Amino acid sequence: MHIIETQDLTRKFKEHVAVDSLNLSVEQGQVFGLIGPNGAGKTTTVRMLTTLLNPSEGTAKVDGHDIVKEPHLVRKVIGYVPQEAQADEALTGREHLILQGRLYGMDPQMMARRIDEVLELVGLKEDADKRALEYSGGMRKLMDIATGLLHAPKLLFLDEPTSGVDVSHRKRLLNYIEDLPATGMTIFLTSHFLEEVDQLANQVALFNNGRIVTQGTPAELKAGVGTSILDITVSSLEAFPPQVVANELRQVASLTRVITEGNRIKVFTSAGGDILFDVRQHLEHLRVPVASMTIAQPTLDDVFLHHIRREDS
Amino acid sequence: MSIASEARIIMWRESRFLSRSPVSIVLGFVNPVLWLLLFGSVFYNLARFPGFPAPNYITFLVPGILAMNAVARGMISSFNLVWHRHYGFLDKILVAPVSRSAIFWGQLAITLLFGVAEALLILGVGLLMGMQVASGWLGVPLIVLSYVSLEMIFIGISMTMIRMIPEQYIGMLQLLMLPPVFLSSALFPLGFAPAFIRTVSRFNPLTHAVDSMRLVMTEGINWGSYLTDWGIVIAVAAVILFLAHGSLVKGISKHNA
Repeated sequence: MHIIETQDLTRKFKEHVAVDSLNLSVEQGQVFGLIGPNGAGKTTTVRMLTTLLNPSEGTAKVDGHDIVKEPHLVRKVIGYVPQEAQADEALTGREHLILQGRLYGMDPQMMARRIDEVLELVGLKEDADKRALEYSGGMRKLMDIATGLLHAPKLLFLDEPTSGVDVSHRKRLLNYIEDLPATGMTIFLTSHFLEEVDQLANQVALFNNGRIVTQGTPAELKAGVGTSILDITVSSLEAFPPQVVANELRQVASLTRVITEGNRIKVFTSAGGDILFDVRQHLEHLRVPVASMTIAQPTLDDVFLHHIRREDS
Repeated sequence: MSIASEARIIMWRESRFLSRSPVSIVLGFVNPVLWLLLFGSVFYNLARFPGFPAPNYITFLVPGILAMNAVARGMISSFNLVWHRHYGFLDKILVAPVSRSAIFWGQLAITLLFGVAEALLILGVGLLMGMQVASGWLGVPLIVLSYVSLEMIFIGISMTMIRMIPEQYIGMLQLLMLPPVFLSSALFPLGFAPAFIRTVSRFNPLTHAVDSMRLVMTEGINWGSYLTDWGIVIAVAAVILFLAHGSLVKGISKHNA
C-alpha cells in the first residue's frame, strides 16, 4: 500500500514553479529519501504533504486522505521535523514534549513514559527542564526530533534531521532512524548528507527544479552512473586547466561523463578494469602531468553530480 | 478531541508563556496604575467644573482607564501568535490534529481570563484612590462584563493582523492604540469636547463601553441604559470576532500567505 501518492502535484509562487507536476508514490514501511540541490523544491513538497501549504494544482493523498479536502485526517498520521530547529523559548524541553503529546491526544501515563524514552534517545535528559531559550542550535534540533518521534507517527517527515547535530549524536540518531521502519513507520527523509541517505533509504528520488530527475534504490542509482569513478588531479594548472583536460577526455569513447570540480576531474565510466590504464596513457600522450589518479565505486554524491551538473561546468 | 479540550491545550501553552515572564505581567499591571496616578493628578481639578458628571475625577477616570487597558491588552494579545507564526514554531501546532478554530478559541479565552484579573485589579486600585461605586458590589460583574466585551473587539482586530510580520504588527499596534481612546468619552466628559469629536465618538464602541461602566459607578444599575450601551459593544464584538475567526483560520499558516 502507498502511504504517499501524489498526482501532478504543483506549487507555484507567483511566476516561479517550485514543484512541477510531481508524481510520486511511497510505500509503507520504507525510508524514502528526497535529495537535490538547494531550492530544488524539496521543502515545498514536504510542506504540501504535511498540510502546511496548499498545492496550486494537482492532488496528493497521505494514508489515503486528500491533503486539501481531509487535512485533519492527514495530520493524525504524520509527524514533522522541520528543516530549521524551532522552539518556543518560554517552554522547557520537557514542556515541548508535553505540548506535543497533548496535541496528539496521548494518554498521560503513556506520554510520560514516552517522553523519558525520547529524551534519553536524543541525549537531552539532563537538560530537559531547562528552557529552550538556553538551548544551542543543535540541542533545539535534537528536541525537534524528539517531538517528531514522541507520538510514533505512521509517517514521519524528517527535513534535514541531522544538520547542526554533532557527530556522536548523529550516529546514535541514524542508528535509531534505521530501525524505525521495522516498527511499520514510514520515513520521508530529505538531506544533503548523501552518505546518510545511502545508509537509510530504500528508495531515493533526485529532485531538481521541482521535478524528479531520477529515482530508484541507492544501488540502482549508483549503477546508473557507471561502475567506476576516476578522480584525477592535474599538477600543472596553468598549462593544463582542468576544463581543457576534461574536454580532451570527453573524446575517449568509453567514458560516459567527464566533469570538473575545482582542480579535480571526475570521470564516470562503465568500462572494465583497463580503463585506468587507458586514461593514463591518453593523458601521457597529451603530456598532461598527473598528480594523482584514483578509482572508486560511485557514491550518491557522484549520482548527484552526474545528474545536476551541466556538461560544460 | 473536542474543540474545548483542544483550546485548553492552546491556553496551557499561552499561560506557560505568561507565567514565565512575570516581568511582563507586572509591567502590564503597572501600566494602568500609572495611568490612574498620572491622569488622576493632572486632571484632578476637572471635577470642579460645573456639570462634571461624577462625584470626583477618579470615579470618572477608572472606567476610562479600564477601557484603555482593554484596548492595549486586546491589541497586543496576538503578538505571541504572530511571532511564532513568523518564526515557524506554530508549524508544530499546525501539523498536529488540532483544528485552527481551537487556536482562535484558546487565544480568546486565555486573554479574557487574564483580562478579568486585570479589570478587578484596576478597580481595586481605583477604590484605594477614592473611587466611589454607586451600585455597590452588585455593579462589579457588569463592569467586568463591559470590560471583556470591549476587549473582545480589540482581540478580534489583533487576530485579523495575523498575516503581518512582527515589525508590521507592532507598527499597527502603535498606530491603532490611542486614537480610539481620544475619540471617546474615556478621559474627559464629551460635553467638554468639540462637536466633531462628540459626533465621531458616538460611533465608537469605546464610548459605549465606558458609558455603560461609568453609569454603574455614578448612578447605580439602570438596566435599560446599561443593556443599550453594552448591547452595542457586544454586537460590534460579535461581528469583529466572526471576521477574526475567518482570517485567523485562513491566514495562520504562513506558507500559504
